[in-house]
Amino acid sequence: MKDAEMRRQLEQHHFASYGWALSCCARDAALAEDVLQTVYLKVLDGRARYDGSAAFTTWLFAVIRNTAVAERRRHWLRQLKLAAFGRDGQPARHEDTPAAQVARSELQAQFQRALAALPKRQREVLHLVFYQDLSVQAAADVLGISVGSARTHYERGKRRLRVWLKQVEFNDEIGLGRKTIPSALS
Amino acid sequence: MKSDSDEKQFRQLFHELRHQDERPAPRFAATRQAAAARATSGRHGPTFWRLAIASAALVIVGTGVTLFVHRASTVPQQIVTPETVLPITQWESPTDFLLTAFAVADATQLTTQSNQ
Repeated sequence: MKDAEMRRQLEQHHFASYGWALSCCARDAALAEDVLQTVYLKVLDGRARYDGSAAFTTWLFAVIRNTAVAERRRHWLRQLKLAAFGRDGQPARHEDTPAAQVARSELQAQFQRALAALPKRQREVLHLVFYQDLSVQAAADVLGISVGSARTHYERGKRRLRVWLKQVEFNDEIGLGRKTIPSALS
Repeated sequence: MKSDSDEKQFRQLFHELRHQDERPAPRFAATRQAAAARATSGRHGPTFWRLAIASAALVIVGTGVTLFVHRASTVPQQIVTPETVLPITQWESPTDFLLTAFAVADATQLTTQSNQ
């Protein structure tokens, strides 16, 4: 793929890539930006090459995921070093800004907490299928696992989210509202 | 079907999440510029660090091997000093005196027997 075409593809999938990077970085916006920059750098200087054997998004998401794993490890080591000096090195989280908190609906906030409580693989498969509109097969390709395994994670993740949803509906019915966080996922 | 409506709801929640994520997301051009700036800021890539770590490991292993070989060749010289090493022609067994004592005793006995 030529450079111009590659840039066009990256631009076209930029927001989806950012969303996937966010998911891979436990919704740490600063880290997700770092990951995306590293990925663009890898792609544009040829360290990550698209050979056309899979769909472009499948390949790109796999690169993002691998980069996120490496960046998170580095980030964790940096945090350890900072902690050793007694400094708080927590990155600024976009999602924690007051504006973002106000904008977020209560259900959405609970939904994000429920997602965060899911095992990593289940969360990744559900994200790729529902957020990125990929098939289970494509999700398996991105994660480098078999389709059967991806389907199992997908079904288990959905089952746990269903339990959460039922709890939310039950709380609504009995008038508890959405203040209490269901423990169904733990 | 209940599960269908659940799936619809999940999809909707994920799409809301996606919409929410897109608002504060950095623009593509900004991300690309930041990436390019990182590339030109002289930040060393992973290859550089891999090479550096490999070189450091080689130096450490090399120093270790040299030290080991040096010690192995010098230690025996310190234990066996030239003064304590005797030529084989001058060497005497520590039990040689027993042989001489027995030889003398035998000779005496033989003399006594022949006199009788």
